[in-house]
Amino acid sequence: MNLNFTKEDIEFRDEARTWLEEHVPTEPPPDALQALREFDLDWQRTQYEGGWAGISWPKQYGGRGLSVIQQLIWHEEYASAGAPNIGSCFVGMNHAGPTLIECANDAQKAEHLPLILRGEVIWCQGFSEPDAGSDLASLRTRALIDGDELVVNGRKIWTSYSPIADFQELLVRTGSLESRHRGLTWVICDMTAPGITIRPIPNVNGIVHFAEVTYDEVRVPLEKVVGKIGEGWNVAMATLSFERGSAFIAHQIELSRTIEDLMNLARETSMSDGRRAIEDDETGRRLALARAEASALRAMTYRAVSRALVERRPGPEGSMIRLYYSELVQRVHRLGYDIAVGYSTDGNLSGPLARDYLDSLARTIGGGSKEIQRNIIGERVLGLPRQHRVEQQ
Amino acid sequence: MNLMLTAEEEEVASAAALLLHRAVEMSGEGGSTPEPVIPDATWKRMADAGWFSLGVSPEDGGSGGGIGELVALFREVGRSLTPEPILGTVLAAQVAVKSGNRNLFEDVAAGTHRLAVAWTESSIADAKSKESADTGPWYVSGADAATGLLVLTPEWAGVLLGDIRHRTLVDGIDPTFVREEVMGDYTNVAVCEGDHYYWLAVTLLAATLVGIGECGRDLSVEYAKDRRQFGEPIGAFQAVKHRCADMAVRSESAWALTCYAAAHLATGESSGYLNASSAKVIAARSAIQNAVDNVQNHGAMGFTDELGAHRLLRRAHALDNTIVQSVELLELLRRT
Repeated sequence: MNLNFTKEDIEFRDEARTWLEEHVPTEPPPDALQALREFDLDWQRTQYEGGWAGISWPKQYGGRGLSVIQQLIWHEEYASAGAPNIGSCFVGMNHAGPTLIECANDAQKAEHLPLILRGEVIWCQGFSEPDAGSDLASLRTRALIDGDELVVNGRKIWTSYSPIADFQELLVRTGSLESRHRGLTWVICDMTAPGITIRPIPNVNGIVHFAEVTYDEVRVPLEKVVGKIGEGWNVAMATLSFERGSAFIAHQIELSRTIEDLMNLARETSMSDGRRAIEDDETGRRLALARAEASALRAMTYRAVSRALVERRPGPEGSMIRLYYSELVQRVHRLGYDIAVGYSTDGNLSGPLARDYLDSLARTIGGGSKEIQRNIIGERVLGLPRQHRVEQQ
Repeated sequence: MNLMLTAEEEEVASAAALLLHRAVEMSGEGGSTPEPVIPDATWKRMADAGWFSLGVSPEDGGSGGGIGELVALFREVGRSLTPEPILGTVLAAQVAVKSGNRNLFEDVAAGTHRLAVAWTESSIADAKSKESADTGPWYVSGADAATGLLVLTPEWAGVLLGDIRHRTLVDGIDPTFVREEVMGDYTNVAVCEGDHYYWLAVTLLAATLVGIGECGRDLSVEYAKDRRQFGEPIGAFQAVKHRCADMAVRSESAWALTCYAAAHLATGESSGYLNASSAKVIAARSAIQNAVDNVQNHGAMGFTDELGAHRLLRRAHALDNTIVQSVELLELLRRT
């Protein structure tokens, strides 16, 4: 084991740092969805023009084709430069893109990958349904073949950024209702197609990011099927393994920075007795532990990258890091709110920290709830048996 | 950058696993308590395997390897609940070479000396001076088998040879790993300035704690696959499965951080002590909680003396209290 970076890696780090210093947007991303779309696409386009888009994507699809170590370096520099959260470009860059690279045909890749990289389109994910959350394989949005088209009827929900999306990775049931994961198909759905209705759903902070999407006789050409009819589960699992594996490196690294910011806040904020907040034993202990845990998270990230040097697709170990991250980020944002509300009289400070705290509740739900992550760890990492299921009786 | 074990590091780990699992009976078969002293024959095999000169280059007469081999070894030491004085002896060889005491190094490497780790209360806050080293008092683990002490402070490290005059039990939660306060008549035969060995020891204790946490995880997973209630293996139930998943995440986080801290120390950067501190805190929490969960997963069997699940918990606490406690390390992380 070693932490030595090669000369090329160090030069790459300098190059990335310099470019980021000069190009990172100074203003924060806006809340309103249309404005956010423009902001995120502008930033994506800037990265593309600077030669930094798709650093993990193969060169033949317009990416940089960099080593996993250089990807790690890029994410580290991205986080320390305070570059914006990837936001509405997340699904395109981290989900749909990698899935298309792995599972799509040449025509699909040629059509969609450049659009994603150049910051011309927003993608959303259509997996969850009102009655199919953690039990994804029970989803019921039907797609029947009619000539050279699929006709889709049903509902998807919690579809982040769907009100501003151009395309959707849509998982539909082409088999019988009882076929579970064997009867699913993964299609590229044009969000402007007739028959799609989007009902925005404000989240706990009153902000609209996700929505319910209804499909009424929506026609999707068969050429938009990725993989084959009935093979959607495998394609979806590829998608999710990217989400659980590498997609969150920047977030994981950013957390260390958040904790250092909180340490500084606690050093600067006075308590009523004149001492600083960090002098309070409970606050101090929580900050110190969070710091140690953030180091552990970074170390897990480094180990995942080390593992990726030999394995192409992230394994079930990704769920361990995802679970650790999601629970830690909640503790950290709770701590941030406690410091702001407990010691500071600055409402401008406690407002954003309260919002981050409430926002963090989503981290143990989206992309597979923490319960599902624990099932994956228990069954696929540790080899524990699956529970006897009702439908098997 | 690579935080996975290399083939050479893996080799040390598998050799250690073989030797230690044969030598030390975790479960204390038949209700017997494991010995607090490593048998002479085992000690000799450890010396023959080159463990006591691990991390010393072959040019200096050592068996080579670096920090990766050391953490791989101590993880197995933890997993097998091997008692002290391995840590003190391994570090003493390095201190002897660094300080130029060749005779001492050769004796240590050959297994002639057994050196127990020694430290002071609040060792971070006040490092004991070399001038007052000769009599102690020192906190010591592994005094029973020791022919001398390997003293660790954040300012210097040294090898003391001589006789113990007075011993007082301080912490007996683990009868095979007691902490005693020791007064003696010692001669300081090798000294290295600086905090390197102190933080190296902290990192190797973290690796030892990782091994304990992993042992608890593995025993639980094995049992959860095997034990049946309500017609199913208990590992099929989410209440048990999710607890095992948490044990796995704790072990993975503790091991990753220990590797990261070890690799960071090897770079020689001055901030290395922060990751070493974090590693021991996280590894101790992992080892203690996994040991508690392992008792729970075994139900009433877990509460018996015979099963030995309690031994993991005892050792985890004893190691948390060795050299520097989590509370002191957290204080350091708060202040820095």
